[in-house]
Amino acid sequence: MKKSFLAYLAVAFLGCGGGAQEKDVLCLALEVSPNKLDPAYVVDVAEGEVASLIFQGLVRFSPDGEVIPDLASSWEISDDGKRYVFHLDRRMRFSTGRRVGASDVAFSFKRLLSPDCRSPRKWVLERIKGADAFSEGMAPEIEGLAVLDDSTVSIELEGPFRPFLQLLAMPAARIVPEELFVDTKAHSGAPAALVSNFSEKPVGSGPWVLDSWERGDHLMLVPNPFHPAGSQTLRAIRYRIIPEAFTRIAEYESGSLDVLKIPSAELPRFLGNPSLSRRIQSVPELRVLYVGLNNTRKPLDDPCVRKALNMAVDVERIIEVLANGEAVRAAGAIPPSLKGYRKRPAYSYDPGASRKLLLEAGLGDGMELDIWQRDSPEGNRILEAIQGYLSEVGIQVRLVKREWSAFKEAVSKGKVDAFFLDWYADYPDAENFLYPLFHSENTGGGGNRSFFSSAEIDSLIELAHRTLGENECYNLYAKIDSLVYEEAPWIYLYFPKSFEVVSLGITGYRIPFLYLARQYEGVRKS
Amino acid sequence: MLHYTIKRILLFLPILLGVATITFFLLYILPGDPVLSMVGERYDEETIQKLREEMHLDKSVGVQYAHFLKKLAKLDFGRSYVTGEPVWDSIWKRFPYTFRLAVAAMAISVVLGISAGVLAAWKWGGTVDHVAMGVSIVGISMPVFWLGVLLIYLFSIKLHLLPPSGYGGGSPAYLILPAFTLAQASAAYVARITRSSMLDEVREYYIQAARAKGVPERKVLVKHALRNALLPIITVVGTDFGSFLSGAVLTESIFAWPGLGRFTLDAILKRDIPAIQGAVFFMAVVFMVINLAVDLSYAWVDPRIRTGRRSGSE
Repeated sequence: MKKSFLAYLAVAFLGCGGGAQEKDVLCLALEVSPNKLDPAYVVDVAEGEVASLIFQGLVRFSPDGEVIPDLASSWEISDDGKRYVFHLDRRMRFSTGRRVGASDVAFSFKRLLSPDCRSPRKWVLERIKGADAFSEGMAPEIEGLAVLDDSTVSIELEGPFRPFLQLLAMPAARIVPEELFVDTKAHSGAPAALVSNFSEKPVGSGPWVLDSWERGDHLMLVPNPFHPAGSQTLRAIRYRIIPEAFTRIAEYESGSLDVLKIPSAELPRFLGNPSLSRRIQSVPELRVLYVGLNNTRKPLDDPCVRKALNMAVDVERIIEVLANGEAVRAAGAIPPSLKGYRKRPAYSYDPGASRKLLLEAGLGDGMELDIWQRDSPEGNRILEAIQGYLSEVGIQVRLVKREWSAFKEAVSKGKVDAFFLDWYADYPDAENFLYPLFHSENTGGGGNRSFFSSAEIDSLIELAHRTLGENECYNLYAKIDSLVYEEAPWIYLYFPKSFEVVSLGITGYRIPFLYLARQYEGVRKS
Repeated sequence: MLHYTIKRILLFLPILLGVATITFFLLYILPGDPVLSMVGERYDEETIQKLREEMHLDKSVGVQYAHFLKKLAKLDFGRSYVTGEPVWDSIWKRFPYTFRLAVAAMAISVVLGISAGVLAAWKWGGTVDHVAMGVSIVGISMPVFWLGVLLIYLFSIKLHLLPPSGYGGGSPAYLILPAFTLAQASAAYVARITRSSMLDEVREYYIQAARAKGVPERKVLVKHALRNALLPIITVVGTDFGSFLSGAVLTESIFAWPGLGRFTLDAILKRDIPAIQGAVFFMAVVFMVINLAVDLSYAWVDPRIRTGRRSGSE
């Protein structure tokens, strides 16, 4: 015992394994460590990015955000938009070498929806007919899910839902090998719960396989030898976990990182350096920044007060100074790069008109407003500016900083006046910026944290879900976005841009439209 | 001595129970819901409720505490809410990284601190003394994150001598900057304590007697004065070592070092209650063991303690 403890300490001091940088290995950084790589439990960006490399869905996103074949080589959608039939690509194999079959698809979907799984992302598949009954344990099977043959799956929805294919490209709908989840529960007909080490040693059919994972330090991915894509030119991808922005920059500048996401405060320095600026790529983020106003609290339940707040803040100036002019002002929630976006006049910065509106609302003596935030450099800078602008119209803002879980609890329960937050697209469709954020079904945890509620908006969003004609549908989204904007449930801020700098010697790298679309196909490192 | 050691070890139990209880109730009082950390930005209440039931968070505080004590008796902190990994496994995986950093930092602290302190005492009132004490004041005052950033800028970005961060598979080059950053405040404090403790000793009669006998000055200082000045130094070094072994949050974050400090910080930020409880319990054990070792080392350093005699009783 004593010997083994001493041996443990000796190993502890002399080294714990791992590997140094190698050739042909793409070195990337993650700000936070993924917690779980099991697709059923993937919730954040880091987890989503890595899981998307390891697992395949029936479909996936191209770097441009289009839905393209992944496991399914083709599919048909019925005219009423309710029935989907997917034909699997028979070449696809898990990293264990076994071919992916239709039963794996059915199993993965049943597992995600099963009551035992307790997946926080079961909403991704809840539009499948019978999904609710199955996930509540009321039905042994999902009514709308059927395996037609070894490589054909049919899915029937409760009602038409145009972005359904995009939902299928999300990490939660990725396919796992059934045999790794067989336990006693499987014999009773219910899918097995999380196998404890699946998240540690995930097995998928994606282009990359998890080779090693030292929590808090790095993840190493190597190509899946059974993946037919064959366009992997890299030997491995090494993700290092580097929480501090300064350290990530230092790693890039010392040549240890191949791609760096540039923090907004550092952007002028990078753009001003000619040798670096040539290697900078940018993409508009599918993200909107806003200050949510609790629409149920007095005096914020009055749309005039909310409009007055929008008119009191010079968002253009904030973009110019704090986002280096590299952002698009939000006059709606739908980002400019998505269909359904319409350019419309934003609330003009007019402190005089703002004061007048506040006076009309009986707030001539001013008011106090608590704005909650989680600690982030981006949020701190923006909110201090907003605090200054609002004080000019007599609104005394108190900034309340909380860490993420305390923040989320208070905000989701409607316990705060206002809060600073952003919304990052789960999938690249305008629907994802309207239904979660403004439908009354989603108040609180569902995403509608401003507790905005309008029967008209609800019914229009539902109508858009059922509308299959593309033009008709996006016109409807644009109309909804405009109607919500007129109600000013938030202080609308801006749609940021993401900037990445790529090191010399890296070719073929392109920032995708959405983090889930990263595949690193054709990337070379000389 | 054996009796004393056993008594001290037995005292660990009530202290650990106290630490675990305080941690449990602090986490209960603090705002923030651990379930919300697990589910991302979009979730439904039903899933939240099911998770809460599974984690026993829907039970009364009394029931939760009883459940906690039952598991504590078996030294089982369960699995992390966030990663699903058993908490002890995570701690044992992370501790080697912290241990390595702590030992290196302590070595730097002891070597630099004691050398500077002895030198300053030897050249008391001279330039060397003033420089050493000036540098030590800077060392104590300089925030860890500032020094870390400066060292990375100088040695990694400008001079390209050392890697900026990471563990590097155990390569010693990766250890130098974080160890030095972690050691600086401790080294500065050890230098000051060594100097003042040495100055107390060099005024004693036995030192004058040794000098009168013609013992060389270096031998007088190192063999006679330093040995007698060691007690307060050991206390400082021991406490610092304990805190290094509990994880150095700032140093580990700046240098992306995958040790216990970052594990604990991540657990706190995500309200990962089992992981926080496990980490705090582990830190308490480390501190108690180090303190016991420090107390026992007094006897080794000072025979008067070992034999129960007091100074001046003869």
